[in-house]
Amino acid sequence: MNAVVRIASVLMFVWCACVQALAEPPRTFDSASWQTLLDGRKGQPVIVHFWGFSCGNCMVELEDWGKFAAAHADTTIAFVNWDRRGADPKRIEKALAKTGLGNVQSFSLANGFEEKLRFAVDHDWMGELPYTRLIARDGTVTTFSGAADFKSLSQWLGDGRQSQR
Amino acid sequence: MRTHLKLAALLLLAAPVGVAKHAQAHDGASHHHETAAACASSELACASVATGAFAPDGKLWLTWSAGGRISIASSPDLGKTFSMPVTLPATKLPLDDGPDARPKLAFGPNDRVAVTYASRDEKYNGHAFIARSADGGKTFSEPQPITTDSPSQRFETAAFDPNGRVFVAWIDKRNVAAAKKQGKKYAGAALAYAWDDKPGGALEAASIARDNSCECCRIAVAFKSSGEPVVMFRNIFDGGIRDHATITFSDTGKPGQLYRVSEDDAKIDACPHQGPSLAISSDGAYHATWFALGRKLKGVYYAHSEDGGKTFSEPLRIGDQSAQISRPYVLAAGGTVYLAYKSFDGEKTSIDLMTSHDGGRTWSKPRTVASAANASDHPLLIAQQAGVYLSWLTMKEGYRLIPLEPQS
Repeated sequence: MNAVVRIASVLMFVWCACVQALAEPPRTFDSASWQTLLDGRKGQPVIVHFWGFSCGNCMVELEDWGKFAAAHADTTIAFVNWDRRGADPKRIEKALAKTGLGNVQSFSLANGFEEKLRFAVDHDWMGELPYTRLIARDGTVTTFSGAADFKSLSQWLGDGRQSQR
Repeated sequence: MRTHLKLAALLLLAAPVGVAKHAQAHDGASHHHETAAACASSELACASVATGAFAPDGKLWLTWSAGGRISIASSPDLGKTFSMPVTLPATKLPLDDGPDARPKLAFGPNDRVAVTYASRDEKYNGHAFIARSADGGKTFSEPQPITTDSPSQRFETAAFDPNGRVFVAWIDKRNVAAAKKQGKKYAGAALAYAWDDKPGGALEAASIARDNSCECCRIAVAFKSSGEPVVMFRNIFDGGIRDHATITFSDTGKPGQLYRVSEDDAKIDACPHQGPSLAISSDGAYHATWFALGRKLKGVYYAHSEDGGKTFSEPLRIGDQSAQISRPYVLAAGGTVYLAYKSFDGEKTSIDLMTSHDGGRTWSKPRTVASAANASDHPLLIAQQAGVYLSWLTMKEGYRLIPLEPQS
């Protein structure tokens, strides 16, 4: 019986690893994507995080984002890869899955006119990464650049007012 | 025991579902691969970045990155046509395609040319190279790494001093790796440099000019009329403030004191991907322009220094703030300071130009000198005796060299 338990444990481990390795292939983030995210939120708060492999600061905090996502599994979180020459979609999947972000909505920047796509998201966003947009229940959008303060983010989610950070 | 066996069987059955789902990723990737494959040659038409420079004889030269290769060509007619390019050997890793990365070329005496560029790994650790020509760009030597014993070098910039020695500066991560080994924290990367051991010689071993620089932005190099290089870069000041600074090198080639350009108060762990630009006019004034992402200043700014960088004028905010102003570039020539930058109106990118005839104290109103309704490279300003030009690569229109008239 011990052997069977061990086998089951090993299989469970393999299965968990498989599940963790899974993440949705990133969808292309084009000029309509931001509006689609806004329209699809159904009165719920949404967190949209822009990141890139070209940004060391982004990579450093991916695991913390993974923990945050796990602790707020009922929250819609979107991760948009904004590497301007196009990151390998498989690498995006892998990086997100490895850091516990396999369940977030994943996008990658469409090829082409980056300025126009960025303008469609926010006129004031200058392309710095990481960059995060918080859409409150009432549709109010607040933003921040740089590392996330996850305590504040949790408060924002829990706070009915979802006031600006 | 039967229950356990059933559980094990169920788990086994569950695993292949994951494999099937994972296979979808390959389909998702096809769009990107097709796009890249559509323009995979090393021709200028496939380039995403191109850097122009004038040779001492006034001829335009261009280096660009396309199809995974670096090419160099000259133009006898100011960019209308180009010679058959020289294409440098392929790098083992892909070329650095970060937002502020580009190949560059510099001209020295006696037909000498230096081209610098970098490849990078998946984590954007760069490997920078220098290729040299001693026959005016007809042929180039085998590219050499600019340094050894460093896990990453990016944003490399080479220039010839008036004596014909090459000066190369870049952002280096050797001290990041050393700190990590010792279990210590290290913010950002470092500003590194190397000189030729003699005019036309080989690069000496690298030295670190300053620890803790921002790791993701281009640096700017300009020369004083007396021949010493000045480097402007995004430094990390105490408290993690990523504001800009200059270091002026001494006549012995050593880095001098670091001076802050402005108090942007950029306390932010983000990659702006926008480095500064620096020019030095014949009267010795430093002209600096940069993108600020601070708590005090945010946007594109200009300032000048009349005391060798020790103090700078009050930063002047550039451009219409609703127009996503970015990528400023400054050049000083013939008693005029030129400042070009990108603006975006929601549909098209424009390159706007301002000029100053009094050393940066007052400026003309901005004037649009070029525009594009698709992706484009950063605007660069280059000069030869006959005038100053905007050097700009756009996706649809290709390479453009546009003469600039100073404005009153």
